Amino acid sequence: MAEAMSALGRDEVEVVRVHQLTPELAAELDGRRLVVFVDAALDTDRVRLTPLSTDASGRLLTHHLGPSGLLGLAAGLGTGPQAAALVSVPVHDLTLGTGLSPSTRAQVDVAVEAVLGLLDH
Amino acid sequence: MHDIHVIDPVTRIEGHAKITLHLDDGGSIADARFHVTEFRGFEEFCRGRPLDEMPALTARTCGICPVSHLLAGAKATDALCAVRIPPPAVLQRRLANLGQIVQSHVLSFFHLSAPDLLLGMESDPAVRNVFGLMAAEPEIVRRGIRLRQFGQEVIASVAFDKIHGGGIVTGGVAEPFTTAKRDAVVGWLDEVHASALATWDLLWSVTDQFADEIAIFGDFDSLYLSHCLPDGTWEHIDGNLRITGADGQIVVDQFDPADYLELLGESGKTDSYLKAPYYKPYVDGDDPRPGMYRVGPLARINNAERFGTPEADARLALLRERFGRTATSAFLYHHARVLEVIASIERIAALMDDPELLTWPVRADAGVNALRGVGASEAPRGTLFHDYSVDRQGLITGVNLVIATGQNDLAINRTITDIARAYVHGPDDLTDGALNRIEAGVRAYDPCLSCSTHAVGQMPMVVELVAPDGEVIAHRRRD
Repeated sequence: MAEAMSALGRDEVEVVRVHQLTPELAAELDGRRLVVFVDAALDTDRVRLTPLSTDASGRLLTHHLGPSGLLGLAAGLGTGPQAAALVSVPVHDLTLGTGLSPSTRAQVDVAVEAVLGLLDH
Repeated sequence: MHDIHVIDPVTRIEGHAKITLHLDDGGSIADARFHVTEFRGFEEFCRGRPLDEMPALTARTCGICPVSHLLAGAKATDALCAVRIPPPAVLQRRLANLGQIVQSHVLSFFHLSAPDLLLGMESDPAVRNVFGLMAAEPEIVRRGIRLRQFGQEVIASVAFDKIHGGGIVTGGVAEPFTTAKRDAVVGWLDEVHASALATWDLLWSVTDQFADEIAIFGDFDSLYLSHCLPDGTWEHIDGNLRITGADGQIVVDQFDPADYLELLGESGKTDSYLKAPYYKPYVDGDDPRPGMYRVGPLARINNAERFGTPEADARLALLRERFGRTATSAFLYHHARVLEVIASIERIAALMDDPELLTWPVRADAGVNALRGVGASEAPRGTLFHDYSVDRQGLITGVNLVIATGQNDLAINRTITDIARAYVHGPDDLTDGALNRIEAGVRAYDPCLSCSTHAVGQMPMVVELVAPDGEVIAHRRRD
């Protein structure tokens, strides 16, 4: 997904790959028009787009955050984006390996289209 | 009467755990136990993998401590290949570990423990977290975020990525360091050094408010284990190990981490996935507690005479003037953590001035030259051992990971028992403030349970309810 977005070469888009959302990422949200979180999801069988509140109140009970928690932290620091959304990509195979299953790979283009729709909205 | 009160889940730690408080007939605390309720099992599914994969594979143990596993894993595979890594690679690995210590300690202090320290143990639990702290003290949270960014940038300069990077490999590191990377790190130094010193000032200024906690939170005699140079200088990745006692006397010095099994045993538990290592010479029988030792920042500052950097040493002297040569209270892990942040930044600054950092080669190349290799380093939470066995083709046949949090398990249990006995004298005392203090006793050790729960044979979860007379009145087993 990150590679597909990067390959589009859109100058106004910065693609950041992270394994998990950690507090210092709040500083990287500063001044952004739109932040789109893209994550794998087990609870959906199709690409799902969820608008996120940028003044969410979050919790940090361990070493990492969810998207709402990170947005809440950024809002508190005055570094929140203007808008945010979560794009959930369904996953089908969580066995050992780093590649995508054919079913999930087929959803990547759909997810990219969803992100582009947000960007061009 | 007997009762059990459960704190589940324990919050502001990494991973999933619960604490049970066991009350006696009089309603007083008879015992408190820390249970780790998640299971990992890396030792098992690493079997059969090529040795070169091990640093990156074991780094997946945890998203907080990947650098620690990368380093210990790389050192273990260095040993399997019987290579001595080139000096510039030694410096890069040291740099990565210092960045790891900074980012991990900063997260523990600012985001997980500062709400207790700055808002108060009894403050409203709805705001006793980093978001409440942000509302009350936004500049402090900003400082923590910037310090953590710095640590992560240092890590990425060596490992390529901040989490699960591929730059630390068997035989050294993947690429030479560059002047651009050096300049980027140098650009941070003035800001983060000042922030680290201000963090110490802040912690020191509130220390008197926690006199009770300092006296109660795990203030007991134990052994301390860590890397330490022969002259007593603080060490975080290379060399040998030292064990001291609570009286400051050296029990064992400069023992090779590869020989850890000669001194350390590992006991399994029926009520937790955490293994409990212990110092074998002090244990005679099945009870590992006489061999209890502590690892991590408190152990490192107790074992070392000095950091070898100016501002960190000046503040270490303050701590010792106030609490004695050996800091025995687990509450002082917080202070040790901040001292290590200062020392790490000062060490990073020194590395930036070392011209050898920019030289090459950075990787030694060899095949299998030994069938067993042990790597050890100081993870932020304490000494980390990776012990690998391979066949002649270099495929992994056995793995043992001895994790810092596990090594602190016996001390964590003792700590929460002491806290519970001090603050809970009956069911009416089970206030949020009391329960938060018990959790805070765990948080003082900054446990990372994702790293710590690994197989030692069969480890089913067994839960027993034990009456004051020892009778097991309920038993559940989950295989």
